[in-house]
Amino acid sequence: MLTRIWNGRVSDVPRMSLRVSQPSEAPAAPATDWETATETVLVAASLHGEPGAFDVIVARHRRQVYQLCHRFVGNHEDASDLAQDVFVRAFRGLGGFRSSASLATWLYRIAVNVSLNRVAVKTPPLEAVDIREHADDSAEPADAALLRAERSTAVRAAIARLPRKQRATLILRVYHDLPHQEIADILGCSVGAVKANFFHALANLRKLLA
Amino acid sequence: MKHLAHADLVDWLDGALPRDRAAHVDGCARCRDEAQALRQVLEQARQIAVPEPSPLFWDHLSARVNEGVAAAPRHDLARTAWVNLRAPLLAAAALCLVVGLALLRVSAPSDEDTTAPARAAVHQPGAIGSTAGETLAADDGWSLVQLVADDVPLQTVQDAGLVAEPGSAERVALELSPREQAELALLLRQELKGSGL
Repeated sequence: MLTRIWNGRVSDVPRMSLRVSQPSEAPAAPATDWETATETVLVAASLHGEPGAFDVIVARHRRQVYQLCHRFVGNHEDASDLAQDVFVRAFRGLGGFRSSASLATWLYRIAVNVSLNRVAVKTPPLEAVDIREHADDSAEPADAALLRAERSTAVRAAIARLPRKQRATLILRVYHDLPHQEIADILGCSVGAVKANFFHALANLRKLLA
Repeated sequence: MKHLAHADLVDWLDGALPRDRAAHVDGCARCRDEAQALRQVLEQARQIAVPEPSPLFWDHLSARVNEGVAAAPRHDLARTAWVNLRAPLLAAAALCLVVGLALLRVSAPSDEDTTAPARAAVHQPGAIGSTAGETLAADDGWSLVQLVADDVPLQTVQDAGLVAEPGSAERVALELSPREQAELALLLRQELKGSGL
């Protein structure tokens, strides 16, 4: 089966894939074989039902996807559900993925869409900020830590009140450090629109926090 | 003096503003104040961290994804291609059949006696257009449709109101007699077989 992947779809498969392309002669490829595979190979293998290939895609991107979802919904439970949903949707839609695009960008796009859909349906509860996370090792006074926690809660609540595109742009730019062009690809808009949304997100945040 | 536009301010925050425009910020109180205010709120936003889940969570998430994937339909490149092409192919096949059958109903004489010669004619070698496939050519119904339709100008068809519109296929299919429906099913099967699907 993988021989078809090798011949028909993937020209830059690493040598290790040649070994696993003969399942009739060798046992199933161990999971470690996929660890070094390119994303194109992993996508093609996943489409052909090769066990382990999609697991590696998940393992490579789960942290970013979970954190992105968490930025939108503000709590672990919903972020966890959404992250699962993102990968299941990605698997179902893998046939539509174009290898010319970045898999990370594609996953981000799915994550943004499912997260925005979720917050449009219901406003998830923001998790309480744990003061200990804000406590400085250099013995920050308790009142200062409390103040920082309150400020943090206010900022998170303000971000949650931003319009959809502004919120998505701010999250992708500030917390995922993505370039404007990639954000434009994810959100399906121009770089100019991304910059405008980013500016207005910050300006609105400033008003909300004033 | 041209003040910084929104995009300029974003570039300034990124440190990507051209030097001459960046110099403007130093000399313009309005732009400087706005830029500093944006930088301040940006710094505030950057302080917000996502709580790190338990180290065990990641494997748990992968397991949940596996469960979801196992419940999802298995993918196949050929199947994906078929799914993408299925609707237009079936629509094209249905459109051809609907137009042909509608022509048959309008043009074919109702008298069995006058139909008989026509049916006989389609069995004559050469009576059918050479473009018809062998399989379809062997089918009387399809051959008759071709025979009749070949002599009917397109304008006549349009004048008769036989223009396919959304929903036409469904309406006509519902009006067919059981025998005609059986014939339609046969022709659809042949069409699908002929297209390699």
